[in-house]
Amino acid sequence: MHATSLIVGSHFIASTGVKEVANWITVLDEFFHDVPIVQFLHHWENVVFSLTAAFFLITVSFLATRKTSLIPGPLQNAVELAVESLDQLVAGILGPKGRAHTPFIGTLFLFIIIQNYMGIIPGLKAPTSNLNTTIALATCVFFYVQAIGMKENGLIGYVDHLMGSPRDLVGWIMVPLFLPLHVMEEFIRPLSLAFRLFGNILGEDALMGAMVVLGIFTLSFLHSPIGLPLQFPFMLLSLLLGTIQALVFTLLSTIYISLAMPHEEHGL
Amino acid sequence: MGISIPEVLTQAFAFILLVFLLKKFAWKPLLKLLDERRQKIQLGLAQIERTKSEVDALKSDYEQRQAHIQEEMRKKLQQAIAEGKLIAKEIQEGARGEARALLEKAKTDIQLETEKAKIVLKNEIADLAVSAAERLIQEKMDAQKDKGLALRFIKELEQLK
Repeated sequence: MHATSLIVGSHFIASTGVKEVANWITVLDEFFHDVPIVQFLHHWENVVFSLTAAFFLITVSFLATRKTSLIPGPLQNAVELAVESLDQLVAGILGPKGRAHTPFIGTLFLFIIIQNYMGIIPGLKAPTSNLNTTIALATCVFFYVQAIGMKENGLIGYVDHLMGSPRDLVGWIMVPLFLPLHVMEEFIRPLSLAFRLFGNILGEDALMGAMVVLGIFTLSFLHSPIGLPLQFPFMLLSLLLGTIQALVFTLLSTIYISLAMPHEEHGL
Repeated sequence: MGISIPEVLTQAFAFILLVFLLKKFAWKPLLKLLDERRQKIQLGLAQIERTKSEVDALKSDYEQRQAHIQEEMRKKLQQAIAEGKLIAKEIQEGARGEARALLEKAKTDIQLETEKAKIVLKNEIADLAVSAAERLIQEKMDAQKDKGLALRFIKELEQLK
């Protein structure tokens, strides 16, 4: 597959005339473009940063759970706070049975929020500003939701749900209308998740990139080696929006899981 | 937009792997630990409540016993006071009786001693009279006259006393 078709975010930004903030891989690519390993890294840039986030999460989890005790240390305490908060969030929406889904939803939230924050750290990039990353996450949510729907309702119940649960003649007459609508809805939901996250994070990154360029231009007449940090307020904004977007993605995924569960059991 | 299927699949695989790893090594142990801690805290609080109610019961029992002991003590004190008063009265009465007996005895003794003294005095006076009479013999007087003289002398002495 051609490299240019793979770099979705940067290609998209470049095509709109806005430069994205450089990361260590783009810097390497700038200087060692012909080196195969650099080309490989540049090719899989978003995957590399996603794996960095995953590695960070695994390391923190390992360190926090290495020597667990009933009286926690600072790291265990911080991780427990996150785990308990997410557990309560999931249990609040899905009810007591929803706890089984906490690991999936919690990991989703932590993975997304860390990826979002990576755009603020110099030398790194937010992989969520790339549509491939968000589509991958949304695909996982889609299959998870469908699997839960089939497991909780049974195959017949799942199909019945897709047909709009017809119980009378009018219901059965409406099946040809409801079935495609529900199937489309099932696909549109994860797509909307993916595009929402991608669009917001890409917008933040593009804005920060534009502000960096503007800051450099502002002091260019002085031949200053550094520019004005005009992106700083938007970095703070990114902190807030990164959290909100991670929460929105997670909450909506939880609600989709809740809708896939039998109606008497979910908390909504 | 150039969606890359291999990249999507790689990212999805990475995420599923991450979920699996975190579920096994972080979420499950931590949620279990939180449950254990919650349970321990609940048990601890229940234990505290139980101990508190036990302490309250003991306190109430102790207060009842203390009140009972104080009541007993008060009764015994009153009984001791009454007994003390009775003993004091008995002692007083005994002392009075003894004092009265002693007084009576003293009076009797005094009377006896007085009588004895009187007799002794009479005899001494008589002896003195006799000795006086013996002196008078030298003046050659008869016995009858001497005796009468002596008795008259005694009477005069009694009248003088």
